[in-house]
Amino acid sequence: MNGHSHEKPCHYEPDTEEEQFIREGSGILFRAKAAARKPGVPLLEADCLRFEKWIRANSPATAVHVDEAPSLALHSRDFWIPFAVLASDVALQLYLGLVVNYVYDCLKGALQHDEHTIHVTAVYEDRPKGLLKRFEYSGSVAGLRACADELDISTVLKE
Amino acid sequence: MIFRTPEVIRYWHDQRDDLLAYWHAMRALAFAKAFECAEALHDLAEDHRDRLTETVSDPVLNDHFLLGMALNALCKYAAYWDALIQKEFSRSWLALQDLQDSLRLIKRFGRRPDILVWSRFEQQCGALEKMYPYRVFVSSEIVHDTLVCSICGREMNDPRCPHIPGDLYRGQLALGIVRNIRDVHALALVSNPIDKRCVIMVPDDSRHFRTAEYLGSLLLNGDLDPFRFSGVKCDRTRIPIAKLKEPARDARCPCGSGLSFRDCCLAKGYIEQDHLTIGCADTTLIEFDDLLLLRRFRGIPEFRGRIP
Repeated sequence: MNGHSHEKPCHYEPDTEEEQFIREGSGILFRAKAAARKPGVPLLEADCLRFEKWIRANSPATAVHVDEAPSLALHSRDFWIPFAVLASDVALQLYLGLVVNYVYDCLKGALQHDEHTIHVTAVYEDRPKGLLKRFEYSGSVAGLRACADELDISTVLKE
Repeated sequence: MIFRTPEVIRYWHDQRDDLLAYWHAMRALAFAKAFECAEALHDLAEDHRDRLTETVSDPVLNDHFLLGMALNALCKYAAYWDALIQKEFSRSWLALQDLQDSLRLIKRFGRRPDILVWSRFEQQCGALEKMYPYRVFVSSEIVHDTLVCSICGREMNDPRCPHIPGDLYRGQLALGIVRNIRDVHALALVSNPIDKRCVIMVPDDSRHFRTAEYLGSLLLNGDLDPFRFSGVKCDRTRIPIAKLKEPARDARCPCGSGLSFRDCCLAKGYIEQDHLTIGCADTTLIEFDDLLLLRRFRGIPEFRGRIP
């Protein structure tokens, strides 16, 4: 898990639309967020469209909704997974599993010396506590997988 | 073998003579000739694919895509070494990037792609990239409204478009074509872009290409076979002054610091110099026979040239 930053899920104040989606919606909502360089202009992250199509093809039971907004096109080897709002029927672990599988699929053609960083942000409901939380990760795919496993174990222990 | 279908495997084997010509040209350091061989094979394969009928199955068409990539990789491999020995280092960098793009597609769609010749090419590419002075690259950040599918022409977010960018459909790679560019956010200097071709130019006669130049000279002197090259390791080595013809105290220090010998290495008793180790893998002719998937022909005629 070298070279990654993973902040412990922390409390998150969603906007009304996000809160409503988390409590009443179904599936995943990919949101457009203002880019650092252009505050106030909501944009979809570079991997949004491909990831959305990948989920539809590989996990058809998961509903995916995407904000209507322009997209960023980058030419980076990094994976910029869009800001995801998870409805109560999608567990964070399940979502991270999708991200990991998507990235592994994309990396099938990667050369040994290619370097990739994944950037993931997801907002979800911590059901036992009834709180809305934000998960943020930036690092390698192996690190993300370890995070997902860690979350899995902690969930099992809680239950 | 990277191909899956008997049709394309048979086609590959049918090109045996031309593949051998490529192999021998490479071994004889006739890289331009090797390039021509591979390019002719590539064009021939494209013609062959164009003649295929609509009834051909998806796996055969996908294998033809792979065949094109394999032959393209051989072209670029020859072009790389050709540029290197011509001391056209900027051109060699571009050929190296082209080669790696082909290797990525071979690895993504090929069967057993991580063995055989392709993994050796991959290792070589990683090692060769390190010889170049390019560390930052120019990349763009574009804001756009629409991505259009290169296969069906629909917008990629249209539910009727089933194509996922980067996947293969009947021998065609699905790509998202950016339309309606709203804004160019930035032209940024980045370290890890998809495309490393846009670099800050360094002249071919710059000292930053010393390692590449040295590698080219090893090839030309017959001290290195390109197929055997496995890596470059740069470090510093210590040479006791007693072993050197001692420089004058006020002369420039032989370590290359630019200081006088008196103010630099004299007191240490040794000098430190750059030391370059060129790795050489034990690739044999028979191994390459395996690698180019020609094994069923039970050996390649021996080449008699000035190969080490």
